[in-house]
Amino acid sequence: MAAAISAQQLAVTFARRGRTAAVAALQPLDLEIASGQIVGLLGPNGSGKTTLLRVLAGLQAPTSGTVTVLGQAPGAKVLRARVAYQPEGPLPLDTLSALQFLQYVGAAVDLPNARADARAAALLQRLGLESAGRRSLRTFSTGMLKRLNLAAALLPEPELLLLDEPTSGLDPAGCELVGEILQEQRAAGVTVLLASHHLLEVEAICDEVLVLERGRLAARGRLGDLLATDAWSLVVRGLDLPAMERLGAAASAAGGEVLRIERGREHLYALFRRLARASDAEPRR
Amino acid sequence: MTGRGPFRIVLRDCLAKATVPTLLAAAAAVAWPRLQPATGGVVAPGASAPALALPFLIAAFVCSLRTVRIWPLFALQRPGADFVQRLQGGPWRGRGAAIAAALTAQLLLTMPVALLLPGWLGAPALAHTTATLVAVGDPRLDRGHPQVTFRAPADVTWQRIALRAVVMLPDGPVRPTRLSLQAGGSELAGGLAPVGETGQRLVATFPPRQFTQVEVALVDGTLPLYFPPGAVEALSIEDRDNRGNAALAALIALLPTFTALALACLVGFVAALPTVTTVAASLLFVTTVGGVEPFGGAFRAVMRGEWLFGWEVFAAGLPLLTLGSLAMALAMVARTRLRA
Repeated sequence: MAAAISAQQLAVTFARRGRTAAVAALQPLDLEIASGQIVGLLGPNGSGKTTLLRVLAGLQAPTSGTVTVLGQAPGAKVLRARVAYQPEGPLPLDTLSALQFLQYVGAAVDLPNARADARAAALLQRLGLESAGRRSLRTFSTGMLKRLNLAAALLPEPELLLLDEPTSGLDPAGCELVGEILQEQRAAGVTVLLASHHLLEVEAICDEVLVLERGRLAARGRLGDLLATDAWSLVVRGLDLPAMERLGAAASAAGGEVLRIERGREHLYALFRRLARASDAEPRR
Repeated sequence: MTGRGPFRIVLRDCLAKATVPTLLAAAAAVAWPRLQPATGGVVAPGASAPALALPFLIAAFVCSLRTVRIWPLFALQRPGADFVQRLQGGPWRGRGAAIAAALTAQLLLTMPVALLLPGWLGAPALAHTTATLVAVGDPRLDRGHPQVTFRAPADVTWQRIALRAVVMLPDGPVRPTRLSLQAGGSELAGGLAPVGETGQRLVATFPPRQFTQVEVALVDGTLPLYFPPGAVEALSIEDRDNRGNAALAALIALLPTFTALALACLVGFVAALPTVTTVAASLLFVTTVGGVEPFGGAFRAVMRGEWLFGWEVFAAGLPLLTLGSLAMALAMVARTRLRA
């Protein structure tokens, strides 16, 4: 599989400014990301996730090392449409409507107007924003802006998506929708590099993760490999408490460790979805 | 790109935000001279020049400051700057188009004002070429030096000369000075009112004729006169529609806006929005209200019916044009450097 992203000894140091010391945002790292997969970029605040994404988007020049994106230098004009970058911050041009904003993006990446309009309408509908297409961005909630930001990234049908916290500020349904869309993109052969603090979301949709720590690549690999342990566990459902206690005693006798026997409970996320669906089904007054 | 790009976005925003303030300023300009105490029941048209300039000033301020606010690359750390920086091509990443849009919006708003307002404010319908005559030699006129010669541009048919001298102290008793005007040895105009005080304006009208030299001669009186630069002006016979003049004044009024936005474009590489806004607003203030030519002079000329088209106006605008162009060129270089 061809590499969508390739970097050798890539490093970024922010120069000293006044009394602020120089900061090594990225220590020399080698990176190879194959096409057509979703890669999670994890790490604590200040670990270099956004800096790495900005380098790959052509917004930050590396201090040293080399990097190619889809075989080109990151700032190459041809990548403007082939690579989409969704920055974490607020959207610009907040006096525009959602539709006008997407039309601007389409024009900036040289998409023909008719094609841009059709894509914009389809994406607004896919992201649940069809009724807000003519509203000013100023009236949008944080979640709506996040969805629109993703719509803008998807508009030119890119081959590589660089997403910085695409689900921060989104409700669970929005997070689920973004997950679905990213998996559709992967199925269509698009490579996704996704920086996130939502570990469950990363675990659910990513094929591979990169873990950054103070600008260094602390770990990388397929989730199955990284999360696997030598210990086996037994998950049981449908027994009453006495049966559970007997099973626990048998497990202890076999040398196992019974961590806890507890009453089953619904996950908060499942409860939220159930309530949201019930509310949707109710006729509006 | 233009149809949905920065030009259209900024143009639409500037028009939306600047139309009402400009119209209000135009209404205030119409009302302002009527509220002034008139001398002898008449307000001199030249005195209404600040009122005429007001809508242009408002349009320039609103369009400039909206442009800096709307386009996120005019300052550091603006929301969504990364987004636009990555998508937007061109040597200025959309800033050039944004400036062009601001200028277009200002012109669209002010051109109707330029064509209609001067007439309401009492400006003459016709404009004439006006030339400031330059003294040859000593510009003092007294008994020991009874004639001062002034040079006029060639190939122009003149019909009027206006003089405004500085009166100095006489040696003896005070008697107002009477003058005559001659050109090529023959008298242009006699019977002028005697000059008794500094700033007194004399206007001599004569049958149209061409000349390149005018002699101002002392006929009678004891008050010595001094003619500082600009004290003697000649008006040509050619009648031109003053609306052309006003249209040029509207174009001239774009110069401060262009320069302010070009400088904002450059400063924005190292400064945040409050600083960039302050720089743009200060420059606009100095180049308009501050009396830096050609902004103020253009509206005075329209109100007086002095034909603006000519090298002098271009020369007066050249420093601002050069400053703005230089700032844009440096912004282009800075963009290339910072990208590396």
